[in-house]
Amino acid sequence: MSRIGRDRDRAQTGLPALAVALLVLTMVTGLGLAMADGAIRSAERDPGERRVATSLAAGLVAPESPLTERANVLNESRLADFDATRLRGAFPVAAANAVSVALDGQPIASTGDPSRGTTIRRLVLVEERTTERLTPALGWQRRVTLPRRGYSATLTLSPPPGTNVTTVSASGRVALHEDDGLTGSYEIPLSRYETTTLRFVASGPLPPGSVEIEYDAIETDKATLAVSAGG
Amino acid sequence: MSLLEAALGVVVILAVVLGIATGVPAPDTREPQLDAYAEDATTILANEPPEHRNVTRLAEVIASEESFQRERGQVRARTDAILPDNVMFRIETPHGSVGFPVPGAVATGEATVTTVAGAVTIEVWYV
Repeated sequence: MSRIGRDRDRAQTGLPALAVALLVLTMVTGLGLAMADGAIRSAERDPGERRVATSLAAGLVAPESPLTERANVLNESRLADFDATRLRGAFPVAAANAVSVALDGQPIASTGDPSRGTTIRRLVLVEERTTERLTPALGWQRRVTLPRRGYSATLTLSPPPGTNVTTVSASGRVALHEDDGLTGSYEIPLSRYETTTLRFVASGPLPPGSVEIEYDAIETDKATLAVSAGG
Repeated sequence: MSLLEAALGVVVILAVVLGIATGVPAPDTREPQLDAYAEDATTILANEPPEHRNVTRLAEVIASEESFQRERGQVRARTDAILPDNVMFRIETPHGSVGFPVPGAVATGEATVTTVAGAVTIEVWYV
């Protein structure tokens, strides 16, 4: 009797403890599942928008981009013409996603609002061409060095009567030659890799004003191109 | 007795959860950006026209030991100007290096460009 009573007492004391233990275990399991779910969800990210931003930024600074003169050098006049329509036309990925392009914080083109998306920044140079005019007084050597480098120059030759300008050479290379005399305007290509010295060969005197040079001087400025994608 | 078992169970479950929470890596978004910076800096430097002679500015600088020693300050200033202010750099050339020593345990971006005088590597990292 007493033995049975002792056993029953023991089982009854064990029951609440088991219930509490199961309750605690269930609660912790639920809590743990919630934490794991949260951790996995926060690690989930959208690699698509990062890929769009990276590839669009690479495309914009590539040599064949509608903005660039050569790799990482943007042309300022083309930059001024650039807008969302051209962005969509040149890069179809921009039409399918919300992207925006900004240069030094100034928006250039955007096809949506990717404020919560990924941003990739690229370092670029912005190239500006200005037209410079020069009317040199040629010395006895008949040479003139252009103060700045450029892509091309337009020479306007108006020698006095009796003087034939037969040859014009740029940095030692013959750019123009005519035995009967050069008069009028000629365009000659220049190299941006070297400073150009123009040399004139003429049969008579060349007073100041008989040669006029117009060339496009290059000036570059550093800038940051930011491409954002997502939304 | 069962409370002890429950406590053991709780420890096991918490261990699993901790493993999931710390085992998931955080996205590394710094390195692609640093690689882009390094690549842009090398592209810009490698395409710059020379000041005196040679094909490009970079080739001119690393053409010889003397030219490198003469121009290293200018290269450093130019690279410093090209890169953003929060980025430090180191340039490795066949004649030596320019810039700051690379600290350990930071995310870096790297790009290499070849010139007629040898390869030039730029490594960049956030300050």
